[in-house]
Amino acid sequence: MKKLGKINADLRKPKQASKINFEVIDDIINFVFAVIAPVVLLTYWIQFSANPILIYHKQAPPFFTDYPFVKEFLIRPDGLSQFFSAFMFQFYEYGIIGTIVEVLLVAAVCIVGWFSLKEFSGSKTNSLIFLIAAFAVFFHVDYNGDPFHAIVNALFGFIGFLLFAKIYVKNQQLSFLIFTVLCGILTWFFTLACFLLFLLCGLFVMYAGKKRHLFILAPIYILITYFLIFHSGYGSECFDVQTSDFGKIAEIAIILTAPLIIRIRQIFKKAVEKGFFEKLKFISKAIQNPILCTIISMTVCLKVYFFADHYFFENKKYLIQIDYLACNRRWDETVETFGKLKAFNNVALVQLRRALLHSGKLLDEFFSYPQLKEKYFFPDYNNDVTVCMPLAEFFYELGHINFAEHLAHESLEFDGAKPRQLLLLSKINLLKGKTNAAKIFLYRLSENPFHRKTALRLISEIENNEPFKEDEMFKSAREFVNTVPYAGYEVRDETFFNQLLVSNPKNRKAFECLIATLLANKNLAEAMRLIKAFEGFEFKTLPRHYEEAVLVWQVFEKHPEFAPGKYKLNTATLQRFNGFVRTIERHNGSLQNAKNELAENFGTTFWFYYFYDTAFNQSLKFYRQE
Amino acid sequence: MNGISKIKIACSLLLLIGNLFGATTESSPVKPPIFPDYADITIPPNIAPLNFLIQEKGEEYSVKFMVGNNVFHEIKTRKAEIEIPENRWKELLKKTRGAEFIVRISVFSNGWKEFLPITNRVANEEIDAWIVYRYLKPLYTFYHDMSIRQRNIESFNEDIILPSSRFDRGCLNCHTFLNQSASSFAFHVRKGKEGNPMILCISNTPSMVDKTMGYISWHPSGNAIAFSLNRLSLFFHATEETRDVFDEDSNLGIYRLDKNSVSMPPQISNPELIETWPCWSADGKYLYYCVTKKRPVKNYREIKYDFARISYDLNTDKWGQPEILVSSENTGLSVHQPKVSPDSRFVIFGMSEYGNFPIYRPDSDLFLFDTETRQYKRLELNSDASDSWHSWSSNGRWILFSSKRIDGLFARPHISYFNTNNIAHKPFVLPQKDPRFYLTCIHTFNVPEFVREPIRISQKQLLDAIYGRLRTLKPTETGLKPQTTEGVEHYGSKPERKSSQ
Repeated sequence: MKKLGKINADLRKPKQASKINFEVIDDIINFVFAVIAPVVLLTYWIQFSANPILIYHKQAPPFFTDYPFVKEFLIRPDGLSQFFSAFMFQFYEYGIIGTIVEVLLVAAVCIVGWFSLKEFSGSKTNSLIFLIAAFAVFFHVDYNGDPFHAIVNALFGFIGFLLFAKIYVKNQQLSFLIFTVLCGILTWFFTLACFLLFLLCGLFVMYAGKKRHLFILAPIYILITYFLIFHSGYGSECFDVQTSDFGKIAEIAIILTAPLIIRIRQIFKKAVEKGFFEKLKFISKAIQNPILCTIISMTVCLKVYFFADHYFFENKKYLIQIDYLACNRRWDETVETFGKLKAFNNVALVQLRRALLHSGKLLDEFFSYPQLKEKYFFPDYNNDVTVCMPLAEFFYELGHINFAEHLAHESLEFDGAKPRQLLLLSKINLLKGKTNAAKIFLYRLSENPFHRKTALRLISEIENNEPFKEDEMFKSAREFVNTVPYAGYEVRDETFFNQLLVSNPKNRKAFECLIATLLANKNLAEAMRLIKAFEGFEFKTLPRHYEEAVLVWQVFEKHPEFAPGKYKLNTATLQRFNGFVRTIERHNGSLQNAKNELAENFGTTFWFYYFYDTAFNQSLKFYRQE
Repeated sequence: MNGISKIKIACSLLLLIGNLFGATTESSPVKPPIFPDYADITIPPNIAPLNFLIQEKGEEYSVKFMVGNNVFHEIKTRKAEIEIPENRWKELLKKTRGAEFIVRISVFSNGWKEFLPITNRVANEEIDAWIVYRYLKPLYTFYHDMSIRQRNIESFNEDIILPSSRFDRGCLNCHTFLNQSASSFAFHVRKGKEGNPMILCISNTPSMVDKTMGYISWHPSGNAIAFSLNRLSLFFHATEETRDVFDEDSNLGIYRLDKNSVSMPPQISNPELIETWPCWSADGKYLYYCVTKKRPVKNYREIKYDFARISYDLNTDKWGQPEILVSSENTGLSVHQPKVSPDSRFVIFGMSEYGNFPIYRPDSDLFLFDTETRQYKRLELNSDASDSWHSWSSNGRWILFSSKRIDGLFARPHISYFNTNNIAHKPFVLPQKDPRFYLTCIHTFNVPEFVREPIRISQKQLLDAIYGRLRTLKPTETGLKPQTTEGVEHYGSKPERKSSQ
């Protein structure tokens, strides 16, 4: 202990030789840059780069407070920290509050770490600990990281160490006993915290230099516990880390590098004291210069930020954003965000189609956007389970309640009991006349304290026979519920929409989807047969794509006698069609040669799709890349 | 003390005085609205407390447990959730074994309102203390998270026997016990590309049987297992109940554990017929099963199974001739899931409009077949929702089954007393510590089975068996080979993503 005290005292001595008071400058600069800068950067990063609401939408795990749910966490290793993480994730739903919560917790880790390090050397040289905050940006690079899991582990690791160090000064045997017990508890409840505790205590004991042999108990204890974890079959769940997983890497980096960050300046100082750098005096000076050290820390901090920014999956952000916006029925923004994509997935495509449909643009803009390879209106969920929930929502809105139920349950199984799934299943069961089942989904939701109020209000609405009274879509879905019996492994587009139209011939949305499907399949005969239905649905003018299809039917499919009922084709459409035909003629009828020019001028028309099975929309990024 | 506090205290005092002296008790001519419905039932003398929720708004609740005219225990609470102390509950059951007790429920809201009393009867016969079930969400095509669990009926303790998360989120299928012994049981797992083996535990020693088997029934001698080989497909309806299952083809076979051989005897493996749901009689002399003619999927509504049996001599390995016991032509319904009582006298089976997958059929009911009189009757315990997956207790006095009667969607384990007059009493749902449990639980309890003692085998041992780290049995195939040589159980449109409910 004397040795420890002496080193602490040495470190606290003012530097005699220095003309400038580096101590004061060190404090100020460290505080401003090493403390505030990482925290500000982290705040900025979460709030403006990653967006907490999108983090919630993509990553928030199911969270409830009832005992059966909590018990599932308590009976498995690392469970408590996962439960804590699930709880903290819920705050992201409230935007900036989530950001503040995460930043405060990261800062709390840094502060607890800072206090812990006083046990080594006093606080003045330890502000580099705040670089932890800089590493935290990695959690949100690809919307996979779990910051709270790391935070809670770091927090308990530091607190455990603090406890150990305080007691160590007074009673070494007792401190080792506590250490051993802590290792056991932490290994089960906060598995990664145990690593941190072990590293910190190890360094501390080596530093203090007494009764090191007692320390051997800890690794033995940890090994036994880990053996038990793996023996019980839980290992794969706890330590399943993939190299491409930025969040996990950040988590482990923080846990493992924190002690190194703490120690690095002291190690260099000791090296200087022992004369290792005598021949390289400028290094010696540099290492002892707090301004330079702070600049280094700032540089590291910024470097980390820009590194994370460089690797930030912006496209993934937009994909999540599209799903989020459509989920909240912000149709115009959904369509607008789709334009920012560099690559799209099935979820984005389904949500785009939903948005086009609800904003009344489906038959005007359908061929301005990409089509599925199989030309189906809905992608096959068998190959992509992530599409189940958007499809379930789409089916529900159209009125195909059973298929919506099917896919909502697939999503419930894979994504867990999140508010989105529970609410939809509640509505579906109400529409199916299963009121008690509908209430069960809402009661389940009420076990999440963040959604309790809403859930109880909705239950009360059901009990008062006014279910989802503020939900216009629910009323619409009720009106259009499918009543046509059908049994099969799956139902494809045309049958699907026809069933809805038979159930309720006023289902305009189903009609628009049917026409879009017929056009996508180039089934023009059937599409033209339905011309009368446009009158029934009170279309004032024919939608753009349908007009384009009429011209294809008349000219390319050679049905000049076809008249579009009471509708007159738009002059602008006719002029554009003339332009389209002239372009082909200019290339002597060669579709191959005309392709680029047609794409540039007519890439968003049905005519272009008719010949090339694709679209070319210059306002979309991924087309520009092509 | 501010004015509001004074008013509050004054109000409380008035309320108290009112309670003591002035408040009148109004009698309500209706039964108390409690959830779950634990009114007028017969319960085992060794069951956990029947905690319940009073679904009536009030400021205070009073629940009196009366033995004769005496109040045995009273609960006064401001919460509508009534949790009965376990020790007092046990004393109550002990005191009223073979007799009745009365529950009087009152709610205070502008005066006390007392509902009609509930009279519950405590049977003399105990129930098997443990049940084993699959715990999973209502599954469709994909499965991600399910487990086999055991629950002590005498308390609220529940253990996870095996969660699917321990083996790459595979599927766990119907578990079957040898004479309700928890040390010898079998279940089926699906590991995707790695195959669909059966895990066999004999005297707590697990091993893997490298053979896919569908529904299984353990011969009481322990030397043989009857199994079905089904080609099941999950399909969907656009209206009413969404899920349905079609069995394209199925035959029965027998796995002789003593010889480690599998055979498909022609008597129960007729290529023109679909034979499924095997179940041995308790004496091992008969194999009961369901049988129908093959039909294409488009005629799925016409597929109605008969109830049949065939005699078998284990020593000589000789089969008798199949005999139809209940014909679908007469009933107009389809039989499934026969389960023989421990004394072999009765068989409970399910019947529904068509098909053989009752959990998806809301019209599925349970029927009692008397092997002596060859008569059958609809059991009194049925509901409008699906009632299926039944199990006899080892003394034959309790029936455990899955019912969707509470909400029409989630299957919950229900228990019914089967008296000496062959009448099944009003069933009640398995009690839970939290009275609101079934209001918030979005999981379904599938294949509930009685066992006499807890399963003691560890997850690690079961996992070792699943991953082939323990003994792997490769049965030899004798006699007629199975008609289906690969995949065998097609459950869902694609074999690797099978539904499992």
